[in-house]
Amino acid sequence: MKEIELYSNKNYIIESIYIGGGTPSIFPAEDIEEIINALSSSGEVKDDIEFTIEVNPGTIDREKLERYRALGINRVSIGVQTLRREELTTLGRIHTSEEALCSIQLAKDAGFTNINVDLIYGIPGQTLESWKDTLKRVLDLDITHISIYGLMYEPGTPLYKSLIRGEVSPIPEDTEVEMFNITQDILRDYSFFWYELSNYAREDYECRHNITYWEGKDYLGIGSSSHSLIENTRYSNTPNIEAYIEILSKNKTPRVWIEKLTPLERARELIMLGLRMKRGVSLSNIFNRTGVDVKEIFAKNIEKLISLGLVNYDGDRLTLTEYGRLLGNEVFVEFC
Amino acid sequence: MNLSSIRNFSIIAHIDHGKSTLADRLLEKTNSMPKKKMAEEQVLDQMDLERERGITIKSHPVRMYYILNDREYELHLIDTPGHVDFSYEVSRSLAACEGALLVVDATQGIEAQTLANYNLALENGLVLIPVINKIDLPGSEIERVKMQLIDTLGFSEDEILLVSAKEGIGIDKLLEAIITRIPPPRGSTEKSLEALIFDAYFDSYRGVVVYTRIFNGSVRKGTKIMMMSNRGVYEVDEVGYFSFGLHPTETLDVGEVGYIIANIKNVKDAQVGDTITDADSPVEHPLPGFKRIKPMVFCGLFPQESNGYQDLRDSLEKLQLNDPALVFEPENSEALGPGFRCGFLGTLHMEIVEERLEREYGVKLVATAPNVVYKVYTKDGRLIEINNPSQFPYYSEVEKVEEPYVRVSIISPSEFIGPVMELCLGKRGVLIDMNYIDPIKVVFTYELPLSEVMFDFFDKLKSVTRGYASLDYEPIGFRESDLVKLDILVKGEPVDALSIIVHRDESEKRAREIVKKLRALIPRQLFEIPIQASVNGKIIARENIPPIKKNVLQKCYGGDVTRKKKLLEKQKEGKKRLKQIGQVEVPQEAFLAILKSE
Repeated sequence: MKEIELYSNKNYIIESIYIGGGTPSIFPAEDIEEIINALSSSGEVKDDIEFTIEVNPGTIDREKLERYRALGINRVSIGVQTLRREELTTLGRIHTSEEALCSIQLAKDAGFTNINVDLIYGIPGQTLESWKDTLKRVLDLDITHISIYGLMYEPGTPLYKSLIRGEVSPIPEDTEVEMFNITQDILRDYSFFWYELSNYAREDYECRHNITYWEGKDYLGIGSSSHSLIENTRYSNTPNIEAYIEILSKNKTPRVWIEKLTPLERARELIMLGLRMKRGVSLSNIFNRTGVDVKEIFAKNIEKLISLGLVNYDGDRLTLTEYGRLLGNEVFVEFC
Repeated sequence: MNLSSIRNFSIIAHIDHGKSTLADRLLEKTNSMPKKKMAEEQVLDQMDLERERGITIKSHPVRMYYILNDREYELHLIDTPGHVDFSYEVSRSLAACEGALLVVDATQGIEAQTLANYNLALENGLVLIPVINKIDLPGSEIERVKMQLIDTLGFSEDEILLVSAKEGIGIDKLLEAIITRIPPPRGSTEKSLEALIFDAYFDSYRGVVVYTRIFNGSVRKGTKIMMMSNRGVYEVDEVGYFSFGLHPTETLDVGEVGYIIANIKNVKDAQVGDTITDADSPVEHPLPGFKRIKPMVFCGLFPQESNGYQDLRDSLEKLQLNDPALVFEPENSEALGPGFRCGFLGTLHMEIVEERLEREYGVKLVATAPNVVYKVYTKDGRLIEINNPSQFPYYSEVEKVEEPYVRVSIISPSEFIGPVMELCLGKRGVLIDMNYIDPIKVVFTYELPLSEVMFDFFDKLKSVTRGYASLDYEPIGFRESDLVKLDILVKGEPVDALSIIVHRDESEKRAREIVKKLRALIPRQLFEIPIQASVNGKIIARENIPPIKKNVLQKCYGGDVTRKKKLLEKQKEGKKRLKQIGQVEVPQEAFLAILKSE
């Protein structure tokens, strides 16, 4: 709240709100209400905003969800990950598959009509069959949006440590690719289409908030370790909660890191982020926004990517090919 | 100084038998060491590389004074390089002396370099003082080593001195022996100048500093000197002696060891082994033993970055100023672009040059596998000397091929006779001789192709003898061998920088090893990469590197952008270290990996 007050004179126009990172659903609705009040008194909140809260199975009940809805929240994002017990254990998740399915049902019962579910494939021990099963059971619940991530072993995480110690072995790359491929088929059957590398939605249910990131538009992050992008400058708040509280108590900004992007850096980011989306990037649009002639500077790289079959290019718009979707980094790296 | 008061000597020893520590003790005992040097060890080895590797690369002469029976003597110690790559330099340093201390480790006994140095000293007519060092160590076997010196090298028991350089035991006796046993130099000041060059280095302020031993006549500032090999004439600017730096004197007289500075611009004009004489009254014949240095090992050096060619050329030129044994010529590789084919005295010399280029000049290198020189006789009667496998003629044009051979001495405990013979046989060795030095130590003489000895032979010898064997070798000329060119094809394209020349019988085994190694070393790329090996146009081994199918950052939201950018930058940095060959990106290690055989 204190941090929101810092920006009260900025008169931001708020088009979407996303409460996420960690497990915000453990907070009682009263706390969320205070945050919302603070936000609306510090900027102009548009009428038709998309307002999402991240929810973890086992932390909510119907009453809480109904109160969220009463506060104006119109979208929930549920971290299901998988419906197999062994796979949840491998991921170190504390919830059960029953709790996961139940939370989707609760959200529907509470009247939410825009529901996202996060799933992970490529988990050690996962099979094509178990993945198909999880995916279909989730889709059968008539949700509107789904984020599907191939498992990444991030340094520092317990899973990464188990990998290094040889306690888990990654599934074969070929299996992972096959999982990706059947995922596409199944989603098509359920009338979902992909619009970003890991995101699929029913028509008109794309996540407007996240598209902001990929289009490189401004956003304001609030809370410890949150990030912001405002007028070509990236900021991040201290990740240390004690320090965050301490700094704010002195009415100072908790932003501890600032990166002013040069036009070229900005253009590179716009490509890297924009290419994540099915619609890709328009190079003339990037030129208009940054003054950087990407066509000229990266002409050779673009040519190489076309010849490798990773991108399509119509002279202005650059998009990933079907083949390029699994090899995004090979494309992005050409522009960094 | 009167000739009869001068003694010139070297210390020769197998590696790690205590040569440098003994030099330290002699310097201490004669109060020749500056105070601040006292705390250091192996004070003569001044280059970082020498100290790190524990080896001597350049000659290090130093003058000492010692009083024996109320008479002052001027002693010149010439510390010599200790590696077979530099054996010519060693032989010239020895030629500058009348005597040498032959140092043998009391715990190890005679080793291969002991023998090689002993022979080198005898060829130069030196008086040898046998010294058993490290007698303080619990594992010392003084009696056994004495018997080796007596039986194998023909010394008599009362000649042998017992020393511990570390503890300072026996140093006085040793100094006395240097004075009483090593003869003073002969020659006359009246005769024309006759001086031997035994080393030189380039100083950017003063030009070339020539290390020399005066055999006749004298030299001073203003003397007009002439290099006998190329008739170059110079006027002397300064002469002096060495004692941790240069100490100018008025003259350098017959019998003395010292330096000459004469505005010489290039070390090539002051070649090791050449004779310096008076330009006005030159001697008729140069001192014996001059040889032009011929490189034995070649490899391609290429800049890692395509714009690094000029930097590499400048750095090589600067290095060459001080290292005339280094030769290089431009080479254009289809795979690696423009670079240089460089020639070296041996693989140690090569490693030193590569290390200095990277360390002192900051050049990032791609080095190809080294090779020896081959003589190829073609069917139409031509003789082609090649120093690069890519110059090997098309196989149907080749009549016969000759490669350099060496005579190898190996000394090993007798329990390893079997493994040593097996190793040498596997490397195409021919046994010439085998003798017992004492009941438990054997010396083998083998003839082997240099190419087999140069690369990993020593490591293998050490491993089959649990570290106990020692090795030395000398060239004995070219011999015919059934050699073929082994080409490597990456994604169907032959990569010239990966070609090697191998014996026909070995070619299949090596081909399989190499493609397997390359498979492990070349990172996966977006397409399948077949790695093939071919001899005479026939594919004899193949491996496939499967393509990458999945590499994508899964999540990228507002808080991830900066971190993900860093990840991508890391991926890009990794790619930078690879060399693009056609479509395929190949790491530097691949070019060296083709050398080592299992």
